[in-house]
Amino acid sequence: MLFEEKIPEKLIGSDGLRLDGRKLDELRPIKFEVGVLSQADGSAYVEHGKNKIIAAVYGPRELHPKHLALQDRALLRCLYRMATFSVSERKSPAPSRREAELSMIITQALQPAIFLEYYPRTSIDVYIEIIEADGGTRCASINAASLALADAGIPLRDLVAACAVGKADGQIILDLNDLEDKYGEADMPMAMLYRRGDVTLLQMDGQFTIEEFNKALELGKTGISKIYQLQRDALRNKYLSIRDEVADESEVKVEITKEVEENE
Amino acid sequence: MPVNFENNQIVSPGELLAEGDYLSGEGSFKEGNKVYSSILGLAVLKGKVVSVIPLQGPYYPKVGDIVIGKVLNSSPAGMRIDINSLYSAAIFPSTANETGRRGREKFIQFDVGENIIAKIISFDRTHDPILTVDEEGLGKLVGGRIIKIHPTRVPRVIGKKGSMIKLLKEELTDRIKIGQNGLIWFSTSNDVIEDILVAVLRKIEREAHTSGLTDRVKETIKKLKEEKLNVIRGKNT
Repeated sequence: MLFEEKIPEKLIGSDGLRLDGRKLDELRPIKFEVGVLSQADGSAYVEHGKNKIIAAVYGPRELHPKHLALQDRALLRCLYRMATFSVSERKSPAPSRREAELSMIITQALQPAIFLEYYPRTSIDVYIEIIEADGGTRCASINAASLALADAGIPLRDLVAACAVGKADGQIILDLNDLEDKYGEADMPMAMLYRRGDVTLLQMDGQFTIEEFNKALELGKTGISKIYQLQRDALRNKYLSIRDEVADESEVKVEITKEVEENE
Repeated sequence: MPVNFENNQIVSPGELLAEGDYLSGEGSFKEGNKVYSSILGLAVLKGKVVSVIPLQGPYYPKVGDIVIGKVLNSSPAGMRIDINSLYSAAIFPSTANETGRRGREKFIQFDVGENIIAKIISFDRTHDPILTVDEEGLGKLVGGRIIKIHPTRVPRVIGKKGSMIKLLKEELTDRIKIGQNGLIWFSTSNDVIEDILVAVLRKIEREAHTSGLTDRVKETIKKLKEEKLNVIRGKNT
């Protein structure tokens, strides 16, 4: 190993703060950016603490090979991949068992949100590339993929927001980083269609009592609600920034909708 | 209850648009008596119908649309055309001439790689779109250049009552054809005009969701023309 990772004695200090100075129910700083790739139909870049992730969506497009096509709906395919330099010790570029699993659970987390039945016989392809990883990449990947889908203009029932909760030093904490994930007592990533309250991903490592589990679920929901709001803002900002820029240039107002109606 | 948005407000998927006695149109869906947005776009209320105008997304074929496409595969039995959509289209000898006026034996076969402008005569969920070229102005596109824009922003290139396309034709070139699938073919008399036209189309695409676009495009064309003229004058002296 290039540098030794120091195993922390305590994950939560005597002042009640975590190793990176966060409170127990505090998220890491999150940055969402939409439309970062010019050649993809939709794309998003996410910085979640030290995680850096790019998601790209292609489609709906014609599906090849054709025999995979579903006659009544589109096929959703996700590929989660970690760059070789994304972790401290070089990751082999070959697809690992872990990557295959995450690709599958991300597909399952996104699928209920999409109106797949609108586009029969096609495929929607989501590619997720982890540039830098620091715990909780599956949640950040779901957030990124959901933004990229919306950016591609694919009809969604709701945005999918995801966040992890866990337990460290006997306390329930929100949004675990790498160290808390490794040396904590439990880790529970969850994804939700927040408006509908549907949980589309719920995994758990470690142990919770039933009371702790219920408490963690509630804490996860509050974290997800914050992320959900950030996602909305990111989507809107892509177009609002152009609109503001133009509004500065001229004050003339024309009804856009009328134009569209008359063209139809 | 009144609607939850102002006209032309940018909304994102899953946003509550209206509650109560409203219908959902394009880009929205109903759950119970609530109407939600399903895409990122501009929310619009027309009568009782709440819809969202998309800003991005694939071209979904519609019967009657004029589209521009590239021949992928060609044989006497038919041609397969890439129409920049989620489905590729087909032309068959039997339907190439919709009216049957010229008869099946006159079926014009295009070569692979050629660009054509055609009309969709048949499409639904279960089969790919079928095209015809039997109409005035349809057929092979010779020369010129094709650029691709977001299909959802084509209405703005045409403009209110065709105002934008009229402006482009008057100011730049009258040899311009717009496919509803986001492909635009044009042929200009010189490179300078071509550069201006491409720049203008990119501007329309980028600012498709803003108001007062035609006026701004008019100014841009004037400005670009002067700039280019100055460059040419500078070279000559």
